[in-house]
Amino acid sequence: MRFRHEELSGPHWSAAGRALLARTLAELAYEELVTPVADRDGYRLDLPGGVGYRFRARRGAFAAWRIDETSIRRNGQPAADPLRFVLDARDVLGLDGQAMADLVRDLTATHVADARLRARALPAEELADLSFEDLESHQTGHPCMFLNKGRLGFSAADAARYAPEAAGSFRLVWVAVAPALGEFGAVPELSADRLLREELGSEVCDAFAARAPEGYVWLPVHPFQWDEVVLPLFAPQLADGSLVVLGESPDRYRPLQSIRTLTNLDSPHRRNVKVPLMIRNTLVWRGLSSMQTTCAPHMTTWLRELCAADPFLARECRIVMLPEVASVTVPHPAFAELPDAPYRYHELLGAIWREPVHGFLEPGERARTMAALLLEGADGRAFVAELVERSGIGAVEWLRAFLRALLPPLLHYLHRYGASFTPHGENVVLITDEREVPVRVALKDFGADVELLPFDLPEYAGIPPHVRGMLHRWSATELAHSILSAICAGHFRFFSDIVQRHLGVGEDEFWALVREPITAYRRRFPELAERFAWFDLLAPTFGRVALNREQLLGGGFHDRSERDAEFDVMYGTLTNPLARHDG
Amino acid sequence: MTDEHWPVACRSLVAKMLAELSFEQALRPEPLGGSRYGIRLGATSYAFTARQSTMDSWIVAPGTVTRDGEPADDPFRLLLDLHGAWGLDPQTTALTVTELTATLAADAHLLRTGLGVAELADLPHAELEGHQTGHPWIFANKGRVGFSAADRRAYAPEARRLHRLPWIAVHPDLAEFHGDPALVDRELDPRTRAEFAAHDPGGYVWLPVHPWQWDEVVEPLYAAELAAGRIVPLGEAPDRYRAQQSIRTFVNVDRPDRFDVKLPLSILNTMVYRGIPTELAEAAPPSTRWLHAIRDADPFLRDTCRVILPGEVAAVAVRHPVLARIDGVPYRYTQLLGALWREPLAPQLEPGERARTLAALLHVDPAGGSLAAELVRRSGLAADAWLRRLLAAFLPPILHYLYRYGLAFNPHGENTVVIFDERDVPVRVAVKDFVDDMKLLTSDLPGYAGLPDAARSVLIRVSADEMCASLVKSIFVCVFRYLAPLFADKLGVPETDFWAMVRAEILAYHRRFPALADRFALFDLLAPTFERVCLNRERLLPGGYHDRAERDAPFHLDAEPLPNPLLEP
Repeated sequence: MRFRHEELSGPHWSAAGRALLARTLAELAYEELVTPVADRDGYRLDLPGGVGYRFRARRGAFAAWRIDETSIRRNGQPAADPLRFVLDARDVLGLDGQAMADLVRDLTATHVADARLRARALPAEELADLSFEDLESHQTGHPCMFLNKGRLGFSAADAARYAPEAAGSFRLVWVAVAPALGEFGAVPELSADRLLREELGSEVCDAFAARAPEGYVWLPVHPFQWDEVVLPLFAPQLADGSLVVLGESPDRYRPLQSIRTLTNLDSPHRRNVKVPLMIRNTLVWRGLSSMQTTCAPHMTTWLRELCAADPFLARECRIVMLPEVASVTVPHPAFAELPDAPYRYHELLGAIWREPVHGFLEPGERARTMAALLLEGADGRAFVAELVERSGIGAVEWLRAFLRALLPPLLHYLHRYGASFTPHGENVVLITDEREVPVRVALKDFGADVELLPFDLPEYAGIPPHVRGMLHRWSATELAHSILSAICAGHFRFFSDIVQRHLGVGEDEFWALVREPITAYRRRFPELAERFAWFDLLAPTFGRVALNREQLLGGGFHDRSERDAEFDVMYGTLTNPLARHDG
Repeated sequence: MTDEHWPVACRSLVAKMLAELSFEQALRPEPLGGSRYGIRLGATSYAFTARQSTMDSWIVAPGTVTRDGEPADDPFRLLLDLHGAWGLDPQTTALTVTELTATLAADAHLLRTGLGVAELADLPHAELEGHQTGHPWIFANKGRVGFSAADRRAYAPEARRLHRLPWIAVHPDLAEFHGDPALVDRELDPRTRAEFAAHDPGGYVWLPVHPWQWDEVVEPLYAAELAAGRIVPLGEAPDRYRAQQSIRTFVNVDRPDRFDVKLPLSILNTMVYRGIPTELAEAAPPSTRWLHAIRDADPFLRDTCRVILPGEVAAVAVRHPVLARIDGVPYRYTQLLGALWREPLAPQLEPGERARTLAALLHVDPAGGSLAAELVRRSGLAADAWLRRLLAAFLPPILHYLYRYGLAFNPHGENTVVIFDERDVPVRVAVKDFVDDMKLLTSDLPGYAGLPDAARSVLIRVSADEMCASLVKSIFVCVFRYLAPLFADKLGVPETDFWAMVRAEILAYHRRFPALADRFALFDLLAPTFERVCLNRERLLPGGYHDRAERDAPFHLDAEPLPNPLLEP
């Protein structure tokens, strides 16, 4: 037994608590779960039992709350305890005992992770020098969800080993499954044998081959999943030999922010591997469904073919679609016969291999996830301020370059091909040139997360019919959320605050900058005018995605059989900051 | 590359599922001629070789089951068929798949590593626990939801590993120590105490923690208290412990004179999460004092039965400062951290005496050898004589506490320890697990006067009928229902003789204490029928039984009353 709470003591715990309390208040108020009222020079939130919170805040686009965390008072006393707050607010939130227990657990886990991040915090200048992988271990998690590092299922030791901010490393267990149990899929040019030789090297491959029956399908397993899920739940298959242990592969891996996507530390040119983890984090259990694994190589092929044939994407945007080149799908034989069982039971074992971004970079280019733009260093300086300074081009021009790199390819996939992604901060990789000026982006995670319109566009013809049948089909208004919610409300709502505080560019000016590439795109492709109207990114209002509301009040969301059963995370409407100067 | 024990475990589990669901009348086997019986699940037919025994019980022969005419040895297939035929809740069935898988893995391990009965009979009590096969009635009896594969290898009783326990100190605002404060001084050597004391900020309450609970529950949920220094790790104490069948009760291997320790373990096993509720910790020492006082003042219990009641002499409960204040929180969140110290059995035994749980008498080794038969053989007594001695040792103290004091233990196979003399003849018993499981009548009897308020308000209160039904469930359904056919099969004692001996022992008690005649009527063990409890059916029902706020909230199932095997034919 180890006692691992050193980093929790001292100032990190209370500083993390103060920030988490501010984030909790801000996000609950944004989603209208609590309603602070203006009071003197700030705001007041009265709760049952004679409890009152006061704080100072600035309001931003989307009526966002920028709360000064040092200003929060509970009944006049400085407040830094988010658990105290949720107890105070329980009746207002309307949570039952089970939901409160989950909330307390997730909030505590998030607090621990935030304290650990603070204990390792670096100044902005040093953050800017970190490699892609090392920077990932400093990211602060989903900005919209205050319970963003709950990771239900991880023990303290698991979190210390497997959480991204632990910046650790571990090896993967490889198994082989009988062909009746698992299926390999890949882009056309890649065979299983070549993939395994490239990923494992010949020596390891040969050693494993001595243990694997002929024709078995090989895949890596996360050590947590191995111990918690595969050994326990695939015990019948281990007993009858349809699942065979090959051994541990020598390369060390580290999780990216999504926790279940792992990057190879020893051989960075080898592929990232996305593996299921039976933990619940930010709303969902992080398994890997058959749909995701089956779709991945096919969607990669389709999106890359579109890109290759489209000079705008290929030569102007030079977008990188990080290919998910291969996958293995392994349904669990007993749970497969319980299709209505909670979805986590259907996502136990499988793998997706994704090309890392490094191989796509030109000399001098650097890559970081877009989430990094929300980081502030231990010195209180924003990470983006350091990049802007290094670029020497001034904040406004840097932002223009960033938005020009980010938006046109997404707009084009949406309007021209009727396809949307989930381009939140972790799925977009920002590529800068040697001066740290943004030049283009790479996109990832589009296996089964590509969404299409409910009716078939001619552009969908390149998707194999069985894959097309599995993909989510949403209305045009809902697809528009890939820009409006994932980027504008989900990322820029926070980035615009950083931009104002650290780059001296006001929020209104920032939103005007965001409109520029959108209007430019419309001028450039007038033949798509009908589709501009479908998706209507400049509409006066759009629906508010309320993830915290869903997490707290979703009522067994995570026990449903369909993870994405309904598009039911919307609550109320937001004023669209892009709408004013419709051009 | 295949595990030869896995299919054996599967065959036994399929047979057990069919037998127990038939006992619970969820299945109604129809005779097919000879010893074959059949059931239908939707469009699917199962057939099996079985015999009926007392109390509507069924004994299904492993390996004889067919499904639509084909051999059927897959418990998952059977569960899925039940799921389809009964329209079960998919979430509950999915959880049952996980529990069945864990149970099979444990069963296969037990088959792989099982000793023969001759060796088992030589094992000390605490070691024998590591060979036992779990709850006889619940078919998913080693589910241990929450344990990973590595956790099982470390902490399951059948892993037979020794553990050192980490200790922590807790701020007195969060924790109370109940019982003799000198206990901790006796449990830890001076040197360990001095090392630990160096970490204690002063006046903190000390307790051991299960290493799994520390990592999975205490560190994650008490992080704020750790950060604030209100919980302080002290270090690992040097004594090594062995887990008993209940998984969370530990026996000290290095110092058998030191206390057994019962620790909360937030795993779901045989239907409940295994925590220690705060109020029970408070009630444990006074309950023990009361039970001991009764025994010490009663010549029958003290001198005739010489019953051992391993005292729950001290306990600590640690509140969670936030979760404890949430109304309606699932019960598992109110019993996260604490410890209960129980008097060890070994020092209470006389020279030559040996202890084994009553459950051990049901044990059959992988080769089919019966531990009870081995003990009978060693005793030199005839099987029926040995059995009479067992019943004479076991029943009188239980009956006396019931009739004379209006108090029922839960003396199932794990809570009852049979004490044997040097020839392995049963001579007396120890009964344990008071505060968690003991029941009193709803209305106060005069005998309750000595019970301290701290215990009176906490112990479960039931009607006389319920109390009777509870004992029938613990003793008849949970133990004798299996022991009677085992004595018939392995030792040639007919089941009717078995139950006649049980009846004779009860009637002998009645004759000995005629003054209690009104109590014999109040607690009518000779009633024609009892309520039929259906644990496996409850387990399969929807409704998230384990997420409820009340662990023991009632279920209502339709089942015919259970015929009393004590009634003369």
